[in-house]
Amino acid sequence: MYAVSLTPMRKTLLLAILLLLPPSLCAHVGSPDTFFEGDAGPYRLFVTVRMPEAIPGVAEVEIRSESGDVTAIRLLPLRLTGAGSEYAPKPEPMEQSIKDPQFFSGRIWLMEFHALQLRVEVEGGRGVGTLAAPLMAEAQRTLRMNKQLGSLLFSFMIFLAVTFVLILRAALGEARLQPGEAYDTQSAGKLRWVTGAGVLFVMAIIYLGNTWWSAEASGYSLRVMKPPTFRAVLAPTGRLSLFPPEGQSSVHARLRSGGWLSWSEVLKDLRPDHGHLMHLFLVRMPTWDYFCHLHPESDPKGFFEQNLPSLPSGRYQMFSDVVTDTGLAITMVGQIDLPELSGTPLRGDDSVAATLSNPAAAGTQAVSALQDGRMKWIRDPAPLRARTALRLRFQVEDGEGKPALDLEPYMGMAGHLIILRSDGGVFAHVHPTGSVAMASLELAEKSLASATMQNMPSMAQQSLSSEVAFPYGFPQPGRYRLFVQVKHAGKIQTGVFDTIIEP
Amino acid sequence: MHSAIFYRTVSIGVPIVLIAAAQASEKRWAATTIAGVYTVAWLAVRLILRLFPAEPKLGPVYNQVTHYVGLFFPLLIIPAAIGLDLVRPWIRDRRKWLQAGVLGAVFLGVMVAVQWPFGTFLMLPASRNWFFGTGELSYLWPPESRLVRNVFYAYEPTRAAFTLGMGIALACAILSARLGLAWGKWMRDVRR
Repeated sequence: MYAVSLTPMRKTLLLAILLLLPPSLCAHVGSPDTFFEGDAGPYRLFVTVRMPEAIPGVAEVEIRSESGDVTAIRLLPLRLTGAGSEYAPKPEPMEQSIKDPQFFSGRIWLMEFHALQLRVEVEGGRGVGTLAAPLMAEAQRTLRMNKQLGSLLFSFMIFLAVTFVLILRAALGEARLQPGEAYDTQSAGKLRWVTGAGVLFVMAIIYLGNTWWSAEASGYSLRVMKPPTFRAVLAPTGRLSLFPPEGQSSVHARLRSGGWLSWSEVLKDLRPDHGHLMHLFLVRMPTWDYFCHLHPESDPKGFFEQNLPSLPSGRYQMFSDVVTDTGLAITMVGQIDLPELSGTPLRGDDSVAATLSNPAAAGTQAVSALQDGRMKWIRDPAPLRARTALRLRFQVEDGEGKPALDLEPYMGMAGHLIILRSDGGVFAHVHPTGSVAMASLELAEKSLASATMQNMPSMAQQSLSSEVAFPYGFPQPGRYRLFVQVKHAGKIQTGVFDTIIEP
Repeated sequence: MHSAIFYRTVSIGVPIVLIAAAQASEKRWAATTIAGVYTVAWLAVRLILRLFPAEPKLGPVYNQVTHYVGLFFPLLIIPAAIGLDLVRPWIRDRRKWLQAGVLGAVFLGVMVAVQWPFGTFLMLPASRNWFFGTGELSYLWPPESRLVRNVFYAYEPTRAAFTLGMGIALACAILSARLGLAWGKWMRDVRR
């Protein structure tokens, strides 16, 4: 282990200061939709799933087929693993666009939280094929009732309350009199008491109903994505220790009646995601000029540990991607103030990138210098718009400006794309297959393979071209910085691009 | 059916209906008739629905189903209703609260005597057939649910809590019976 040289003043900064960022439970921050590119048998599909804001809710699905011979597509929601992943409901047919026959749209109900999968069944000129993509179903907020519906229900409530009192009064009054008989003074007084008691009873019922409604809303709010903010401590040796977020998670334990799992319990069993249990990203704030992609190792005493590389001082935003054994992809967040570190040399799949530009000030940048060559963003000159499904294409060139032919898989993938909005409100870790976590995708493919006896292609079987493409859609307008990581000339190299996303 | 909460719930809802009907009609077996109508109607829905093919349209699907999954087997309230009809003539002229106390106690006592062992039976493989239908699982029930695991819900964690719960159930049965008597009397008093 390398020692970190620290001044006494810097030693005072050893303890991390952690602040809250926007909520996240999915393997992204502020980017809930799923973008996925894959093969359903012989058909290449680009799948976009617009996730609902509340669960249960309706997800809007758009699929574009690369070929023109697809005649029908059907959708099926299943759990990603375990019970609920074996049987499927009746498939939901998608609607084929008349203007663009390669474009299909449809809707599916997502009835349950957390790790689900979307099965896509395709029929066409080359037979049938099926694709499976993981979906992370999380409530983003508690939806408010539509005002018109609320007014209508309120008027119904008033009507029922008034008629209840009137019926009670009639039942205990007029209904017991002979036809033509009138109230005597005593009966009239008694009826006033009955009416008063009826009003009190109705008010009590309304009060209890409101209490019930509030309790339900409060229970649902616990399921809305919470910010899993992890605690980080930097030792004098430069070793960063990460501890699980404290307190209750938004993950509900179905086996325990009304029980909620702590973050420690949720994160107890993790799945390797392209070879690593955790992917830790550190980006220096607020300029996003230093970027680290690290892979801490699990520590039986605490959570995860990582020797930090040499870094300049500053406040760093941390994003940590993990996938649980059930396929639930989680991004944890935190911030840490670091002194200047002359730390441990990079090893394995760890990487650091530096750029001088500030995304808040930069415009659109189409070329980024690499250690060996350069990277070009192949894109239309037209402005990019939010909530539009895109294939973000990048060309790697060697030192002579020719397409690089020596790209190697980096952690099993042709490339990794990390997207960050200038205010830190959006973070996404995307691969050539899309915005889904690879460990979750493996589970979906395994589930599909066992259902269809279908063999899934692996990255090792594919040759890499000089171009790497990522399916993604920017969720919101703003200035974004893109870190594109590839392995070229035997080294991990990072292209940095800035862009503005229009509304 | 082995928790006090079950008997509390039944004691709130059932005596008021049976006793009100009996009080209003004055027929010898009025409560038994009402209980019989409930049992036959409920059982008919259970047995007829399952004859029709169906498939889940929402996922995830935890249990594969090929036909409608009907209602649970009805509660055995007929014996309790018979008990009410047998006791009623003996106490008809007593004070209303005394009547309610006796009717509530009879109802709860017979319910426990019948439904408790019947609950045990519904847990056995012998009940997993077309008639009792305990093997027919809704597609929505995950394997963690008690219905799928076939275990009783121990709602009261201690014997003391169970005893207290059964005491509350008795109080609920008496109150429900008293309301039933009042409701029945009101129905008889209606003139227009």
